[in-house]
Amino acid sequence: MEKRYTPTHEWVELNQERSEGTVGITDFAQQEVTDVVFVELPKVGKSVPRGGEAAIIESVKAAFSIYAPMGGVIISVNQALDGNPGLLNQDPTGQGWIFRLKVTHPEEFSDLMDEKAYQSYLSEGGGQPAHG
Amino acid sequence: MNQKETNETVSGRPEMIPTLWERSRPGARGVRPPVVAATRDRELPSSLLRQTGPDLPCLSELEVVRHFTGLSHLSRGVDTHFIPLGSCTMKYNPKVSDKVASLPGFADLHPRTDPEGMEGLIEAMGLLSDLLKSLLGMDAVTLAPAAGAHGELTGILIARKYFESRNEPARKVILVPDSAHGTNPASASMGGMVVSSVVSKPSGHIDTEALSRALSPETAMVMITAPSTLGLFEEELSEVVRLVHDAGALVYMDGANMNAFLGVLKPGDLGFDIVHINTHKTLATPHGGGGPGSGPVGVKAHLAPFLPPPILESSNGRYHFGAVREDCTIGPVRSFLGSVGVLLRALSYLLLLGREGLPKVALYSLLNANYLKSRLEGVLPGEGPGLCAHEFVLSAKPLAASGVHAQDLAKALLDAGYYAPTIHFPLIVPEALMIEPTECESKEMLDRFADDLTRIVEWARRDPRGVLSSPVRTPVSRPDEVLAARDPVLKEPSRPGAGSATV
Amino acid sequence: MADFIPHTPEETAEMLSAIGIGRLEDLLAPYPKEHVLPDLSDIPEGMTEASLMRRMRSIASKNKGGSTVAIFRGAGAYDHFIPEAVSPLVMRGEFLTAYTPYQPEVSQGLLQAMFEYQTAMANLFEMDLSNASVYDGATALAEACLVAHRQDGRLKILLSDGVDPEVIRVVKTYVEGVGCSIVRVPLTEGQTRLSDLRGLLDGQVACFVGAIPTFWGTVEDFSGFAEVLHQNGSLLILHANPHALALLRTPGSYGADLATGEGQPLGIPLSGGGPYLGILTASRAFMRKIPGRLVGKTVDREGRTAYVLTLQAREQHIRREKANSNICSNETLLSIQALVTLSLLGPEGFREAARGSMSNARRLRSRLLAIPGVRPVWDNAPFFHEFILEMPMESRLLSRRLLTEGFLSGLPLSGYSSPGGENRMLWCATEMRTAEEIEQVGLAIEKILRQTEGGAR
Repeated sequence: MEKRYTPTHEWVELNQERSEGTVGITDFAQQEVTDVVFVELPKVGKSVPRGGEAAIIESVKAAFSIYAPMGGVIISVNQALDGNPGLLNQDPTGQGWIFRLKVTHPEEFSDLMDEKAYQSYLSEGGGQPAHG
Repeated sequence: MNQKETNETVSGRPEMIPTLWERSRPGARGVRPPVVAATRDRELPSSLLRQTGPDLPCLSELEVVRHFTGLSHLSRGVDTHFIPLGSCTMKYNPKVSDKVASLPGFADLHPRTDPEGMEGLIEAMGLLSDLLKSLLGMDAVTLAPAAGAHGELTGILIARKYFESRNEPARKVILVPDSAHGTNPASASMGGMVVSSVVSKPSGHIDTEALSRALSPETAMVMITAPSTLGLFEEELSEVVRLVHDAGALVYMDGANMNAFLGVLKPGDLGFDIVHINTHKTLATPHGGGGPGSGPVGVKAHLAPFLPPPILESSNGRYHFGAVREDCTIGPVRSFLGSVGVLLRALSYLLLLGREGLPKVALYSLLNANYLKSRLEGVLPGEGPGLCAHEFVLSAKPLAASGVHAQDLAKALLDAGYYAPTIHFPLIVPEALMIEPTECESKEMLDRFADDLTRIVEWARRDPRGVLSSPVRTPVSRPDEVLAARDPVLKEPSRPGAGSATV
Repeated sequence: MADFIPHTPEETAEMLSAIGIGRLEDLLAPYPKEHVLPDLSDIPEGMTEASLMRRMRSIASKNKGGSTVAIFRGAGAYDHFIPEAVSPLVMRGEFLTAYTPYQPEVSQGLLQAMFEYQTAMANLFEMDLSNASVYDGATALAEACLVAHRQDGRLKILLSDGVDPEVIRVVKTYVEGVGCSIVRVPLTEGQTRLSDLRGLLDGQVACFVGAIPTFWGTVEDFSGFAEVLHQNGSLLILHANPHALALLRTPGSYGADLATGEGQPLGIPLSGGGPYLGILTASRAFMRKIPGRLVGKTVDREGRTAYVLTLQAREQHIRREKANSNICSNETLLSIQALVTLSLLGPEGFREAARGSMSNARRLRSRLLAIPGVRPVWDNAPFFHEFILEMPMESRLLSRRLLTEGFLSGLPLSGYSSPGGENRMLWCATEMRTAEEIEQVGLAIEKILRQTEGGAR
């Protein structure tokens, strides 16, 4: 399944119907954050605009906002992160997903960077995750 | 020093001690409270009583004394070590001030005593208010705030009320330079205001052009730390103040670094409308491991009606509680008059130093900072040539390639017998080490510190892994903070059956 | 006269030359010339230690503290027994002059003491956890109300009339800043009726706050409150006197979400109103929502037990404008003072002290009710160590007269709304009062009433 990326280092993946998106952070972001100690997950049912703050990731010395790559309504969150926030470090693009949302405008997906664009964004020094 | 009095383990580290609950011996008794004959009159029904405990430790008096004396050996204070923490002003806390605060009449005074019974307190707090007004160049002062951040919140609420009273409720934005202490933005949002950050110039000074662009009819106040958190006096401060006032907004001075101004520069003269002073920094009241502090706030006359109660005023040479403008005041920010025990220490300090001694505080704090800066300039990059104020910032960035960060230098300094400088702050300097020696440290101590830091930096270049293993002489090595934060253990485990004695 | 500056003139000269300037005043070059070295003539000349002590003793002697008057006043600050060992331990320089323990390796003693304080408060309040302190009881309660507000942005704070009116004013200052309003819940004979509370609940209620005991001394039963509030999505916050919790049912046992208190009764001197100790405890669900420092137990690299400040990502130095609170400096030293006091008393001594308060308060009440014209208020309400009486004369006047007789009387409730009143007083007796003092205050009131023509209205 294709992932698309934001300049703030979130990824999103759509289901086949392009109605639901799974969101997480990139491997680059997880390295920048260092050891994740807590993930503040959004409430299911909450609607978030594109680029709106949807979750917060805490390391020992910092907090980072996670922004919704696409607008939508939260339909589920990764409960496994509650007991095991380290999943975000171990497998950020797989088991360390953060939330799923029902997307409002599937076409927003194509506005995001594809893998190649994101890699070149990184190699151009694409900045750090925004501080929360 | 600590180690002499403490058992050293084979590792060379002083030994940690068990907790009170681990030491507890059920049945053991310490100090007995006064004996009061029991009465069966109007006993409370058992539905209103706790059924067990409380689970507190059972120890003899000597065991308790040894426990806390032992704990004290595992910590460092100004009394035992040089603490060069930038923006914290860890100067000597005179013992005579502690004595004053403990005097009968002060220490045993009930806060709700009728005014006739607290004339001495009113006089002491009135004297302090007047001294602070003079030193801050302000027209009115509140002694109520319990800490610097509490003073900031007070200042924010004053600004808010002020603009509401002027029918300018849209002024809700507080501008904060990106070099500011985290308390500034946090206080602003706590006061219900909107925070907007202003980027500083690479030199650390306020960028007046960026500020002009940020100012708007919605700006309520600009918060400025003076001297800045980089230990620099804002070169264009008067221009900044003029810009903000022209935009109809107020200028707040975060007085955390007031030690650099004490007796030589009055914030009011610089045009500030509101200022707080941290007595536990500038006025030599003890930090107590993180409080109690005190954060009196001074304001110009136009803001005086908005101060929280109580306010001390004088007429005919006698102090009294002034009338509170109920239509203006932000309301009380804490219980009672203020942290009297702390404020009495601040008053004692000001009275001891007097008009000759106070300017020396600023002058010698500048001397010590500039001297130490000159000693360390070649060791790590800093702000470059020119005079600093009472503190300066070095960057450990050149060592980062070898894996050594500011934090690691700090840990090595612990082994060398110091507390560490402030590290990784201000945020705008990479790998920052912020050093404030205060006026109280001797040249001998500054030389020793400079030699030790020089040696540590050389060591880091030669043997980075050695530095990374620091500290090795402290009671523990670096604690696992990730473990602590992932699954927090915030108290001793409950002991089955403990504290089950009948009530 | 004193300046605590160690430099000899020679050292100063050497340092100046190392910097490359000639005179100390040259260090002021970056400051605006027109304002440097201002006129300080309104500041007195410096003093020696001896002259300072003489002056401050003289000022202190104008106060009527516990060494000159017998204190029968509480109302938020209490004259309790403080073991002599407390002060020498707390005043040790390693505690007194330490900074916030941001460098854990050289702060283990301080951190362990803070951890032990958190344990003692959690156990005393029967709550899951406690923070390491906030400024005072009033700001602790204000912060707890803000936690409730932040849950989902609800804007109504329900406060029982049993909460100290001055504390309510502080809470108002805090919560109005973020747009919340306060709704008062009345007391009936010293007790909040659950039916009154139910009638006030709606979707905007963030929390209800009750007091243990109430400001007026009564002890309420909060059974069932948590269930009713939780069904409405609101929190139960209880504001408790920690001295009373030696004996009384605890916030935790009532299912409180957050519980706060003024820690002054735990071995902290009256000191004219501060510094005191804000206690803030919570159930585990609020661990990452509460403000203030938290110390956690962990291990170091070699597996030794070690303590650290933890969950710092909640705090202002990291989260800035998104932090749970702006609090930075708090009352750490006073938290240690409370811990030392509780350790010296132990559970048995602590309970004895609280029982002593209750017994003395009952003895005082009986003695005062024996005075003609003194009448009980809320006669049937259970009380801890404070109670209201209707006195036969204006309360502020009686208070001033008793002060000259060597007594700090009950708090005059003149100017307070019900159950306050012109002639009413809120009396208190702690374990520190003697049978003799209780008898003497009774005699003194009788004398004043005799002297006051028509005193018995």
